[in-house]
Amino acid sequence: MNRFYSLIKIQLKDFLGKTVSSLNIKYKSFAKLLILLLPIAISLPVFNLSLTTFITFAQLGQPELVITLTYIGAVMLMFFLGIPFIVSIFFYSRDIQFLSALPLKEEEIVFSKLSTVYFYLLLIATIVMGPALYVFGMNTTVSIFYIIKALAVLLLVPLLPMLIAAVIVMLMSSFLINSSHRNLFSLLSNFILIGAVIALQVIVNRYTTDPEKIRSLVESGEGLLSILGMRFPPSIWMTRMFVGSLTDTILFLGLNLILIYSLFKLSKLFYRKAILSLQQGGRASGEIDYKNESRNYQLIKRHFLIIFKEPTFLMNTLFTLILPLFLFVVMSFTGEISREILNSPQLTPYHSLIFIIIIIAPVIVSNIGSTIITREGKSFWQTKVLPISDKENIKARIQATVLLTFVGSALMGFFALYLLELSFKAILIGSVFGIAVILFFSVIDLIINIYRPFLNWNNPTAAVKNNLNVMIALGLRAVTAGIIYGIYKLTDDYMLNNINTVILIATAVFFGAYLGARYFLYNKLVDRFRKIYV
Amino acid sequence: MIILLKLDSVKKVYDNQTKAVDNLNLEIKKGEIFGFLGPNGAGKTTTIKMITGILEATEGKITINGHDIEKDPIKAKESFTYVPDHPEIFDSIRGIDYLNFIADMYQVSSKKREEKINKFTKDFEIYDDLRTPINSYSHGMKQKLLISGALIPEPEIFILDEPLGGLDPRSARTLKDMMHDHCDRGGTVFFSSHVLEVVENLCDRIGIIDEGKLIACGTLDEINKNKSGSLEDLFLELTENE
Repeated sequence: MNRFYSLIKIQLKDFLGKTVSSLNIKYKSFAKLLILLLPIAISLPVFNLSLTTFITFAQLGQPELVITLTYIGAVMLMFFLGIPFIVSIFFYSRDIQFLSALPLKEEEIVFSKLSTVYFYLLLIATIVMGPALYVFGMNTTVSIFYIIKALAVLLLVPLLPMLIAAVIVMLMSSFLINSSHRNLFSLLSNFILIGAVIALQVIVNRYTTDPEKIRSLVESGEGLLSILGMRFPPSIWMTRMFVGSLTDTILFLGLNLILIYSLFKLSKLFYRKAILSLQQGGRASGEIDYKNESRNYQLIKRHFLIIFKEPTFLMNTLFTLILPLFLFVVMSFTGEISREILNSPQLTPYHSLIFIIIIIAPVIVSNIGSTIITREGKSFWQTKVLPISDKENIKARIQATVLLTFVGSALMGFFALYLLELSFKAILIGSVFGIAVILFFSVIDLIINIYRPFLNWNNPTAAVKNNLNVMIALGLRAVTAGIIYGIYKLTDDYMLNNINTVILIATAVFFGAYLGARYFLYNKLVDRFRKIYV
Repeated sequence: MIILLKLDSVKKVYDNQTKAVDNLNLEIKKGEIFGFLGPNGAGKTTTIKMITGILEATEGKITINGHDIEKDPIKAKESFTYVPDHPEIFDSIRGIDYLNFIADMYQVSSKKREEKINKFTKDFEIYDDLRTPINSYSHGMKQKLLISGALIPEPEIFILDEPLGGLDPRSARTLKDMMHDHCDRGGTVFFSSHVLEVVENLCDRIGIIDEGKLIACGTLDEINKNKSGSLEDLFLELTENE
């Protein structure tokens, strides 16, 4: 087999293998089935959205715009998700040194690595664009020719965002990066992603809440496609290519070819100036500190350092803890929530409830505790040989989780204090409730991690993102919310009419549940924790 | 004679069928350097992991300085430090952070840790790299850092799994000198190795394990009784017979 194809094959196999093993499911065939089913489950709401969009544009006489719109959405999504993925496979993969020693050209290594990016983006393209192509085909003319065309479009769609993202990463890294900037570079690329998501949210919100803009767009009739594609011409070329225009087909394919050629030309520079330069280390300077601290302090500090010194863990933690704050800030900018509305006489009686919802948001989306053992990976043995009890070891993990989540909740609390004119009583009741919820879920999450430790990972992304523990932790939060909602429905308006009493009862229930979970953890699970090993 | 480490009919079975260690009995005396030999997959690392509390024995009892590793793990662990064969530690932190962490775990005072850190890291020539993140260290440097960390608390027993892999000749010599110094101060060293020459020259006693069973234990002369040749010949003969 050709050396390059063999390299691509092994990279894809490695990528798939890591994805399957990162799910941490004992039965590999079930994990593979899950990987197949998960995109289908995600694409169901996308399918619904595509159908609604199709009907709207069909009424305007331009049903093909459903493809244009989903294409623009897919390209943006792939572009912004592509950047951190490209950074991760080039700057954090452990096979670069191994590959460097093989008789391969630099561009072969770069392109083989990009094949995994392409595969990942193709999956996103299928989830986002697949339903639109299906809806359009089923409601217009479906034929073998259409199916071939749709498949060809799907295969082409990831190229453009991947190539643009790769060229940007290559240019930036070739001139900016050195070994000490690697983490900073990774953080920056992830913040670009977060910033883009928030900017998109603001733009979409402004558009959808401005009837004038929508009206002018609709009235433009024939020029609707041009308006949509004005900022991004490939979307027009792709749509027209889809409906049979040869010129636009040439333009679209030509653009992709130019980008592939640029990438080919840049790959040598990128490989030498960015990738290989990272393999060389430097020596840091500064004072050496010999201060002694307590064991518990050091254990907690260790968990903090594991998070803060590993960009993937740091981003994941910041993302889950600060994301609610970002969303609330965006919502306050777009006017969805405002001080006037929240402090209106109708909402004042529910301030305690609103305060609670705001401060427990980081607890709901965060999953620090469910991966606090996993994050240690192969270095987990270390605390096992130290002269500390298993309870001390477990306690430090809970304390680290509680402290981090508490910081997230405190930030949200300050934001809530700015938004709401809260009474001292509401702050007190809300804070105590928040603490009870943080304690409960910190223990529950650690229990999940003890049952599913998953320490044999090679990529930190696998430890915290593609880990089923996170889904289980989020699922438990959803179940808890469902139970609370069920009780609310059963008790009619009693809960809303007696909000403070209900919060106090709920606080007692969460504290009780925390004590129960804690008892179970310290008395029934210590042995299981002791038996975890890499 | 004080027995610091005792393995009493220790057995480790994986998945209810694979016997990794089978009925192992061993006594390590205070002040000796004990070499633990065996072919690949013989059960050396599994034994060390059971001694250090990373793995639980399926059957049998392990006592360290009189403390059962399963029943009284903290007291037992206060008596030893351990250096694994693969230096897998959380490596995004700086070398000095790691050493301070270990020193705090064994409650070593600031003054003493400063003295020890300076001594060991200078001996191993990694002192100037202590401010650098561990992930930029070579395999050998990580190994030296782990060894330095393990020596800071002045443990009663110093347990090392294949400690010489990855060390350059000068560092290997430094480590051997440190092992001797440790024993001269009343400490004990228990280590596994593939390097027969090192074991032959360094150890007071050796144990040979094959297929989970201890097939020979004693001084080189005791084992070599009625047999001729070097330790290499003896090792090959014993492990082949099994």
